[in-house]
Amino acid sequence: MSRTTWRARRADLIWRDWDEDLQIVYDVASGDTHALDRFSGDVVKHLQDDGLTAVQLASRLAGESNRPRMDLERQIADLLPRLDRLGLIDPIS
Amino acid sequence: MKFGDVKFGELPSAELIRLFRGGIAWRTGPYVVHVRSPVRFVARHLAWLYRDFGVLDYEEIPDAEISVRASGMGWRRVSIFSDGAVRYRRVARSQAVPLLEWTLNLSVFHRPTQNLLIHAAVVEREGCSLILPGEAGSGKSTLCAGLIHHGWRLLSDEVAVIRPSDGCLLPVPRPVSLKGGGIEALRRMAPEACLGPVWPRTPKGRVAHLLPPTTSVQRMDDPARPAWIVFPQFQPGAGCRIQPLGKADTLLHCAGNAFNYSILGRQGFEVLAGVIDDCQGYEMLFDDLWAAVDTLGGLRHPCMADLAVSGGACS
Repeated sequence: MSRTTWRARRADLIWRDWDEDLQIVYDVASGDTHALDRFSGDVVKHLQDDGLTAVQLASRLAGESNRPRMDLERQIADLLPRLDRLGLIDPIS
Repeated sequence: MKFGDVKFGELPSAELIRLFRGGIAWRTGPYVVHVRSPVRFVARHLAWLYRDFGVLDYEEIPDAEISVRASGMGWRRVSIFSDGAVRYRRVARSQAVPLLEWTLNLSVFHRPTQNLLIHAAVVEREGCSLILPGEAGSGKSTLCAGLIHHGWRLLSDEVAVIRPSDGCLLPVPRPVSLKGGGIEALRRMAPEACLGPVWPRTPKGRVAHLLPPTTSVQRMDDPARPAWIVFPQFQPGAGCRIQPLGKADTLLHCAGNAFNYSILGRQGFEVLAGVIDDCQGYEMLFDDLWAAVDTLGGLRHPCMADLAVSGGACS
């Protein structure tokens, strides 16, 4: 599992959550509007607060779901590069 | 004569021709347009289409200046200019009126503004407005025309103008541009509808303009609160089906149909998200105008009850 630490690229994200399967996030700096599934949205929100590795993220999110920790780590590891390509997060170390 | 109080329809034909030759201005909602047309054929049709609108004083600063000039052999062709730049050059006279209406759309309603603009028809009932976003061919204009003959007020056939301060929709009543089979569909539904001539072979096929109802023109300064956003799609054989659309999807679709969402930046997002907060979103397939109008007539929204108590939300 990668030891890369990730952080949200910008603090200035505006969220709109209507308790649906998708959350909307508006990136003020880029002007992009993204629709994220709940899991992806939760990952970005955690990375707005702290720089975290996939393992650390899985640890935090494990408390919010019943899924096995290893599944979460794999899913997060797959997800992080995609969020990076959307311009929402950056590797910081 | 006091300008603004005199309607196009109240002026003698010779006076209208004279005014159009020099340039004539009128207002639709927050926009002022100025049109100069020495071409009598165009002047006569515009005077009919806008017969309920008040003629304005020249001192009003227009949002766009449109001019029509005769050209070609025997003056059988016209060119249309917007703010001095040519929009259509040497087109057949039979296309002049629909092309001038599209020039008005491009020149006035797509210009930079602080209002959020979405490509949509908008109608209102009991203080609650229904936004019908859609591309050309979605059937939104036909639907809009059907609705305004069944108890709904026309706010706009072309663009939803959303005021940032309170998210209310500003009326911009203008002729409804019906195309292709929509013309006959409306004639069947509302034989009393005031439809102008059918203009053949325009870039969008056959086009006919429906006069905006007099009451809609009279109420062009009465905004309405957003209540429903319905994405219509005309589809032969589909019947009439409507289903709720999630708010996130509704926002994304609206942003995709907006003219200036990206330009407004954060304000654009916040205004649109605020509208979505207040609205119920739907997708609708239809192949029959009657059924679609009935279905939309059955929509209910909590704002109807609020307005019954408060007497209105926008001013």
